[in-house]
Amino acid sequence: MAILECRALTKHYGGAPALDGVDLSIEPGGIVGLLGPNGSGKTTLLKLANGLLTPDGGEILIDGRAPSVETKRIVSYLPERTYFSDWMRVEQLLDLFSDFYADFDRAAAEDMLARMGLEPKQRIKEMSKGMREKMQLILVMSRRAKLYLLDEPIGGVDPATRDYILHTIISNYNPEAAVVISTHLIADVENVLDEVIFLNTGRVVLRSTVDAIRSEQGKSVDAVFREVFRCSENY
Amino acid sequence: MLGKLLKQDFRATARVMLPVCLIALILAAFTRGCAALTKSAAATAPWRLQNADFLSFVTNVLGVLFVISLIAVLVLAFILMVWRFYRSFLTDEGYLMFTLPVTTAKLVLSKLIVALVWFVVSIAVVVLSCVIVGADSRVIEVFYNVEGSAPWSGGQLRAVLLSIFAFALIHETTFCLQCYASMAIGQSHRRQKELMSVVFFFVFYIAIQILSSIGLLTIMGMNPGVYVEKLVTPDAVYRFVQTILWSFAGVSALIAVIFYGITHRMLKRKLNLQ
Amino acid sequence: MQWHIRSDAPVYAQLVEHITLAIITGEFSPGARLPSVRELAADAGVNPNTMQRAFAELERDGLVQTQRTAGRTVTDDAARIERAKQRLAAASIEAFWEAMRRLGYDRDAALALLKNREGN
Repeated sequence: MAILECRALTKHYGGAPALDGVDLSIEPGGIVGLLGPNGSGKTTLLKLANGLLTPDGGEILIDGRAPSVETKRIVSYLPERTYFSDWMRVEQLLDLFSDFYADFDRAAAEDMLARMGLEPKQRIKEMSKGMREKMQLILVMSRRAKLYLLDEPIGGVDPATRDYILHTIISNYNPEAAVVISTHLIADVENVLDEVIFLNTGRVVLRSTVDAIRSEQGKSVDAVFREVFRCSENY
Repeated sequence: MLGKLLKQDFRATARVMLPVCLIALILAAFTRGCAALTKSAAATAPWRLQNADFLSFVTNVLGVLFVISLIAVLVLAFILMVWRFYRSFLTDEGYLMFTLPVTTAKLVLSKLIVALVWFVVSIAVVVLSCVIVGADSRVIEVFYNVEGSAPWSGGQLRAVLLSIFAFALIHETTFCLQCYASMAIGQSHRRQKELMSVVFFFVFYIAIQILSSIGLLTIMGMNPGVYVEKLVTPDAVYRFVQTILWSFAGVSALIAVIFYGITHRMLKRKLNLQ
Repeated sequence: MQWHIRSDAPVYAQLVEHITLAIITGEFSPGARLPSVRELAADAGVNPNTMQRAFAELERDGLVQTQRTAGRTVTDDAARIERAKQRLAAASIEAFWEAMRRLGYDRDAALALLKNREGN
């Protein structure tokens, strides 16, 4: 059964539709790239999957169910923003995740945090932005969830951090789970993706595997993306 | 899950409230101590006026600080109630809160319970501090005499005190939920979220005022003079007071439920995290 | 191991090539145990599914085999490795002929150019 499914999914923001009749389904075991320019509806789709927004039309299903408390148990979400309280310490954050998520692998998280050089007693407000982002990723990837939704995980980070993030995603790969990476930085993540879905002004314009695109078109996905979106209004 | 949420909310608020409460109590103790010292200094060595004057000055300063700390405790309890809700649900932290596998109801309830607990604690601290500063044998005597000399029995007095306490609690609940509902509506707007929260708070305030006036006029219209004339015995007065308190509490509770409904619906269906 | 994955060719094909090369040069010695798919994928910065696909092809070619107890190992069939080496060499030569032809040298001219270079 598809772990994430959208049927004629529609969401309006004021006048313009952020998502306009999106149909897609993602099976477990893949790392899928949700690619599109800013404003194409990627973040809206992820928010809908998390129950942070309600659809205006159509439906979105996680493991066959509408977003609810049950689906939140199996979805691990990395938003674009860091979402911690400043005053918390690392170990308190680990407590929080352990408390609320049965699938949280505390040992794995502690190991990764230690390798990053973070002490359990450290306060979040003492950390740099880059460290907070890495920490948030570690916590999200330490959950043994069925669906990982990562919104711009490598946006605005230096190349070393980017490599670290991609490495973390690959190392935590689980064939029974699906990972959806939403980004507009395609060249950096192409090699990690199985499939890509291009989204533009709320519609799916292309869906294929990375290798298929490369063998059929002899170009990188990044190059194809630039072609597909060259004549759009977003420029 | 509610327990876990409460744990998080208490952790976040206690780190601010507990120190302030402690300071208030400590200041109360010091004020009392200094006042006593001043008294004994003036009594034992009246010729050492400087000491007495100096101690008197310190006592006054402590007294002022003490009063400020009491105000701080009460004001802080209120600010925390609003701030905690705002921080958890209307800022980036919302991304964490609303993706936790808990129902919206539990999220709101947790904030409300913690706010109420600090409300009670803050009042207790104020009362306790005042007792520390001002209680002596005379006051306690007066307190006991009241119970003996009043027309009501001890049981009735206690019942009325309990009713007042319950009423205060319900009223505070309604007030909290009024703040929450305003913020919940405010956040659903695309722009000027904070401004809209304040606007709706006043809208609710005015609405309640209007309803209260209508209610009062209705009661006046029903010629209450007839009933008041019958209040001759202490028992009748007691029953009257209790009825008033519990009717008001009932109305307040109803309004609280409405505000809760608004808060819940807004956060569940019209969530608008940026 | 250095992985240079080009962006305009399918990833799995490049992985097959890289690993084959590593086997030929002895970086992965014959009979040696190979790291897990996930480890190699993390090392190369690629999707584990793609690495898995590359291994499936290598197994089809017989350069790699999976044993129940030992996991994935490089073949110790020296002849196989030699054949793979020759295949890659042939492909390089073909690429050379093609590059020369694009420059306008036919086979004989290209061969003469080579001999001259070797002579000097």
